[in-house]
Amino acid sequence: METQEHMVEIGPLCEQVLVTLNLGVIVVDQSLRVLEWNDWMSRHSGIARDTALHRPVLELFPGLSGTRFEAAIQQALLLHQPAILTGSLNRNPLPLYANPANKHDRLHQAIQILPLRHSSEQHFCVIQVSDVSAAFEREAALRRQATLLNDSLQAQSRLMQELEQHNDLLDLQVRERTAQLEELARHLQDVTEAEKSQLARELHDELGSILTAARIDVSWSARKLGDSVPEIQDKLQRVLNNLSEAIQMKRRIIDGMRPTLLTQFGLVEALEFAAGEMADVNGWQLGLDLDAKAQHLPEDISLALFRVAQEALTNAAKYAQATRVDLLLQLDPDEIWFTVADNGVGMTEEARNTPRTHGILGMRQRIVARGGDFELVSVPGKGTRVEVRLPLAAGSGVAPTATPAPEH
Amino acid sequence: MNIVLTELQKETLEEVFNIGMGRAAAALSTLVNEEVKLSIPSVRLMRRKEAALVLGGTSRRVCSITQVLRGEFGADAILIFPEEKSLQLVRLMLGESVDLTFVSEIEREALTEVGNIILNACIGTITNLLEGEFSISLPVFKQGDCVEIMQGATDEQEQVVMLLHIDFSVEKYEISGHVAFVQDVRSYQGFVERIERFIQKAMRS
Amino acid sequence: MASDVKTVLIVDDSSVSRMMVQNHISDQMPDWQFVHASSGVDALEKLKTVTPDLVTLDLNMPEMDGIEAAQRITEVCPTARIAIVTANIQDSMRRKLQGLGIFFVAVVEKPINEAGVRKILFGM
Repeated sequence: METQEHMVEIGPLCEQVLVTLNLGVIVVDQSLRVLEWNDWMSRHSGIARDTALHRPVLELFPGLSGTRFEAAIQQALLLHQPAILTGSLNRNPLPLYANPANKHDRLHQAIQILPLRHSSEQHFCVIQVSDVSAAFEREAALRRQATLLNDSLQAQSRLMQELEQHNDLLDLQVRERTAQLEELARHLQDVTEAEKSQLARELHDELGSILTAARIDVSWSARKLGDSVPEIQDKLQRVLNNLSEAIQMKRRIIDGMRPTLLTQFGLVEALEFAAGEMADVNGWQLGLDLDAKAQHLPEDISLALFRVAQEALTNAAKYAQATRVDLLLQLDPDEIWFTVADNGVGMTEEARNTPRTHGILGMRQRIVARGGDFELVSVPGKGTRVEVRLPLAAGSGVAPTATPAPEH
Repeated sequence: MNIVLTELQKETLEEVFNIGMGRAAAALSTLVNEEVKLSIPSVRLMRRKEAALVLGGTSRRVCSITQVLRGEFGADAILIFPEEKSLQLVRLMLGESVDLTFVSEIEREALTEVGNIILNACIGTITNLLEGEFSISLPVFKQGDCVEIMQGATDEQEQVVMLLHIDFSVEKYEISGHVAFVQDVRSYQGFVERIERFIQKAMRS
Repeated sequence: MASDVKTVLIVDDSSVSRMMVQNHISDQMPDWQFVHASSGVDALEKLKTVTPDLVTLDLNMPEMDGIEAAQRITEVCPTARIAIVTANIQDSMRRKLQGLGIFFVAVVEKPINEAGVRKILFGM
């Protein structure tokens, strides 16, 4: 009894369910006639249930003949295969609207076509339609946002690129200006060296010969005079002494302006000689490690290194109170390393900023102008070290192309 | 249970699958308006986990669409695309220009429908030729590597399955993929009977 | 015409398919004789001893595909008429076949049936 009561109620309940469902349900038979057309379908198609029932579904939706929609229904009926039809691939096949009275907003549809086997002879097909407009809108919005984000990311990376390019340009300008200044400084130094050279030659050739000639004449006169007039002899001896002093002075001036040693003997011997003399005067212990290959470097490089050595040794003599000085000169195929180190009192930060830093600046200038590196390392109480690295142009260096001419 | 196919049964199965995939390729060809090339099909018996390795293992991410056949014999029909290429395929069809890095809901559904069309063409031909009564599930979309996808509902990695396997490619879009029928050997008896019946009919002996 | 005894070379890598083709043609032409080849290479070998009136040719075969086989068969045996029996029914394949410049009596879909055989016989 209970079971029967239950079965009586299930029919109307199913109908109620179909009315309540928030999706479209169509059931068709083998001849594609509509057996069920639920309330949702009526609401969104504008075709009432009574109108739809028992009519071929393709008569109700004439636009769908020959489309995948029809093929899928046939497949479900004949081969019992289920199919899905998406709105995006099938351009929302069914003419369904939020409000069928004004056919503006066609629903975005997701359709399922399902085989329904009642018996081996009777086959049906259920067409189920859901409204996915909301999901579609959400995704469209997401897509718009993604596009915007993409665009702004692209704009940002474009800006970054421009900024980097601008930076590179500035960098380049700074490097160019620096190179120009270094070139100018080098030119000025070269001019100064050339002027000093010229002056030294004039002093030697002109003044030197005048002084020497005067001394020879005075010397001859003194010999001839003998002891006959002792007062004059005394005067002549004084003139001779003064002339000797003048010649000495001339030599010192020349040596100062143009390192005779260097021109005469080449860099290695000039360094040995100059350092040796300074060591004697100042009582230093001297350490020399000078690469013999450096004897015949190009003249401008030899001179630059010699000046650095002179300056460093002078600084050591004047301020360092050192007991030991070391010179190291090393020649690689493409660069030169030169170090002058003392074990003196070292320099404070302040000391390096006193006027004698001009000497340091001069050293630095010479080296940097030739594309090298200059470093002054000084620790109070431990000593001072000047380190120089100079690049060698290809073909220079050990080749004896720039052997200085002897001075005499 | 004896799970050895005779040479004739194996060959017949390959031919049936070949015909089924011919229809599927035609369906895909209509969708993309390009020629779809098919490899020679193969039938192999192996463990489920080995089947996963044959189809690509864990080396790359794939999208798969699966439909399950239940009836006189049971099988999973699986279509596998490399993830990246499948996105290109579906975006091509949808005419989308934005390259999202993930598969959107709409793309996922469109891809499921594409899989549905291909698999239905293939399944329909095979069930028709082997004359079986089946219920066929709706297509299910999955993403992951082949091992994850092949795990399916079961954890029976050691279970022996029959792998019917064919590669297809659309040269113009450099899209290639596989279709596999993974046959549960528990329904093997029914399946072999179907093949035998087909052979008898073909040979009329 | 129908009483003429003709020879058919069936080229297909599947023996079941070859039998299906033979049986369906035999139904309508009981006197015709059949030679089987399991590949394109095998077909060329068979053509050394047999001059068929009709060749039925599968397209998707290992080693030499049906397109190449059709060209080679036409070179070796220009009098044979060729019918394509294939699972590949894409439009692009039909266009490719047309582009070969070979006269095919018919392009028939697998599995072969009575209608397919009638199409072939009509083409001859």
